[in-house]
Amino acid sequence: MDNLELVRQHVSKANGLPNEHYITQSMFDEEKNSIIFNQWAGLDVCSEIPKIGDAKPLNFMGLPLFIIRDTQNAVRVYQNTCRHRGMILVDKPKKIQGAIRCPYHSWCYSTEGQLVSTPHIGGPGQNTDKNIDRSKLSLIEIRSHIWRDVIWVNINNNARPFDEVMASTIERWKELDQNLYHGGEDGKFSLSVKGNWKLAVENYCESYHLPWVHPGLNSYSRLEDHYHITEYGSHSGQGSLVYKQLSDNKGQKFPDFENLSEKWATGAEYIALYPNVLLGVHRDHAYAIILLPVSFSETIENVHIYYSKPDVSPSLKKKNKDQWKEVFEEDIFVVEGMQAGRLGVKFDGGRFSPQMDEPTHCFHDWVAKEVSRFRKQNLT
Amino acid sequence: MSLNEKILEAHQNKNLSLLVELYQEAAKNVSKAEEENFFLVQAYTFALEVSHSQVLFLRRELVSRGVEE
Repeated sequence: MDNLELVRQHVSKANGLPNEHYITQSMFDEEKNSIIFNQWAGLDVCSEIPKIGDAKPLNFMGLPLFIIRDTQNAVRVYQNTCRHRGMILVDKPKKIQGAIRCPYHSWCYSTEGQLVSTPHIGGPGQNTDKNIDRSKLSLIEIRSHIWRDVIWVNINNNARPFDEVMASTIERWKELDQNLYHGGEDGKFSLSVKGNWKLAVENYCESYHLPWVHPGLNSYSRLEDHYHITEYGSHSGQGSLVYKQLSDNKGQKFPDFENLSEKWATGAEYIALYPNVLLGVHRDHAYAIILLPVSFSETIENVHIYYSKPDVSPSLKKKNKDQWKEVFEEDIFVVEGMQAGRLGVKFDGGRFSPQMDEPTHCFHDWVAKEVSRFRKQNLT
Repeated sequence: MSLNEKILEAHQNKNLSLLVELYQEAAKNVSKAEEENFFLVQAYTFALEVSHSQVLFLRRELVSRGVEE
């Protein structure tokens, strides 16, 4: 039985993913191709480019991309590379007023991606050449989908449709599928973690660590108030039965999302949508964490918080942001500690608690399955 | 300040709308069609970038001269 087959056994018998999945460049690259670029991965959020013409460059695991809101208000993702000499087109967040002009030889693209002009291509003052067919030189668009403000991308353009892949979570949170209003500057923050991106997913999936790592959270949201959310082959996470709304000194709370069922009065759910998006939902706010793998030992966590109305109390919003930041910062030493521990050459991937670690095993099983599938495809 | 100096300054300041105007002016100051086309292409390119009000006019002009699609 090879290492990945060991991972795919029942949680009571399985080992976790082997060390090399966390500490080697070769596995980082293999996972990039097998489970990030082949799936629907989170890239950014639409709220980062709120107005028509807003553009923002992104480096996604070494792939230069930019996101833009086109003239029809649609969010698009392009490879950030001119079709002429391969120059980077958008080097910083900016407003595109008309065309996207390459700063090198000024080939111009519409926000919808068409190559609209090729200055002097046929010699000085001549913008055409019989050998150049502009219709075949559009920007390379990356397949994307918007859900819960998150821009999801399938780089290799080979995944099943997003709504199909994420169907069970979309259905599970159907009543929460309402307008989301980003909290603005007090609705976002970033954390830089010296750990493999998968460790952040693993830590997010399970509630086992709450009494030890988040004693403050555990004082009202005890371990026994949590339940697992586990769908093998798809996603995992945890739910809480005792969500307590935040209030300010006047007793003011965030407004609720509309027409929610009783479940959400004190319920909250936290799901890792593989590979790299961590979502949380509550009666009065939600958040999305997009994990951007920088290297096998470094990850950026971009956190975005949303509300049911656009004009919620600024002080309460700041309090909520600070509270979540504190919780997520409490997790950093765990992720970084597990990363350091993976250098232990005799570590065998670890054993799982059959009772408490099923959501984590669910993720490992998924990684092992997808990597194995990728290897088999590459052999044939 | 000469037209050339104005153009250089507008490039320096990244004043693209002004470049649209200045390159059109430059086109008027030359006699050969090729030179005119060169400056009009410059004006058109920056007009595209900033969505300048002259962009359609410039495009029609270049198309009529057989140098743009």
